[in-house]
Amino acid sequence: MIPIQWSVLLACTLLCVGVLGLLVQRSALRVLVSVELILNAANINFVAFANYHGKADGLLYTLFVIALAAAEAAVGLAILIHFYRHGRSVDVNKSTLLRW
Amino acid sequence: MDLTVETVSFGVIALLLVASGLASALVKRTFHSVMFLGVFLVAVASLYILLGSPLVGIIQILVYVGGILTLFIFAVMFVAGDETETVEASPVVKDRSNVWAILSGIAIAGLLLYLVFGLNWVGQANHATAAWFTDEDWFSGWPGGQENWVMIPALIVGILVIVVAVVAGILAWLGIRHAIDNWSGSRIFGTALAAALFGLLTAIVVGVAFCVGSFCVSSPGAWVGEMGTESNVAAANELEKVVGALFDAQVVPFEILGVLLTAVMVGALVLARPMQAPADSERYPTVSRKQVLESQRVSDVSLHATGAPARSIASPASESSVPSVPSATEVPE
Repeated sequence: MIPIQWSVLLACTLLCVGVLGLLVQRSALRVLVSVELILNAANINFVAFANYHGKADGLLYTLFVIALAAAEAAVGLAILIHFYRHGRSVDVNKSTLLRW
Repeated sequence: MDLTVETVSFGVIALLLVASGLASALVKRTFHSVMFLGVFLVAVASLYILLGSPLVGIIQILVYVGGILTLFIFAVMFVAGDETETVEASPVVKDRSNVWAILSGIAIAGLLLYLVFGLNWVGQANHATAAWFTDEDWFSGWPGGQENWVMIPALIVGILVIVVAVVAGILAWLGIRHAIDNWSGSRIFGTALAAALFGLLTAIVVGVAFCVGSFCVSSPGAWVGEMGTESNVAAANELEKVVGALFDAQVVPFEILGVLLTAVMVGALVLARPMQAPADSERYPTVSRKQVLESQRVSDVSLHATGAPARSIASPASESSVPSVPSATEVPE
């Protein structure tokens, strides 16, 4: 058995890596990639604890998160392509329409 | 720690995960980043299989690597060119706002490390989470037991969600007022209305899911056996259990949410549709019957196989500039 703390520590590290990418990158595509890293870090926790407790619920939530990630990627990339058609750019700092 | 095959392979996978995650977040070119994301996703799938959940690992590969990664690659293809490469990452230290980002990152990392190592929550999660949601006087004993401190992050997340909901409401109201001010902008009104309706539906679904979920958490006999044992892993991964739980009453709200997400996908398609697409007559030149016949005559395999330029059918002027290649199949007049 892998100790549960190892999995949690690994998930924490990957979460921090994803947040780092989220903060540093300006391209919307890179931001979406970082979001995928974060979602996977959360999934590792779900799977680890499901196996730790012997309940299938965590695995179930993992499946839902994967489906949600698919939807999120589809919507995010659609918005990104629309945005690119408008301004010929994917720089998230340039999308200031809703800023006040 | 004793070195078994299991622990060593966990270490290898962990190293691979951290390295490919860092590369994916920080590497310069977008396409390389997506490739490293692929390495990351496959490593996560192998970690699932190592932890004892092959079903989730396979679904990870099918959906993530097969679906989402392909979407990303297509997006890179559509967007790329010189633009994605010129969007530089912000320099980590030069920008003043990045100092705040680094500080908050250190704070988050400290909080996470404290949660992992500082709290004695492993083994007593049993009663920490179970009675918390439905306990009537949970305020009274809140700072008492150490296990209750585990719920502080959940509380913070709840407050953040409320703030986000309020901001979303303000934005929706602003949109509606903007539409009322200039009534002709009926598209904005429709968008705001749709956003408000979707937010309402999502709030209802999430609320129902939260209520049902809290009942399920507090139900007796929550854990199967001794925590952290091999038999528990086997018990969690019985196929009937996973599939049966898919159609259990507690996940029905999530399935309703799935239907909503399908609506979101349709909305994404609508968003990504071409704006003011040129008519087909503009994109493709009208071809006369004579030109079609000519092209059929010229499209001889022997002509293309030798690398000779195919005879141009666009205009007779260009035809004269192209040196004519004699072909064996060309019948003399």
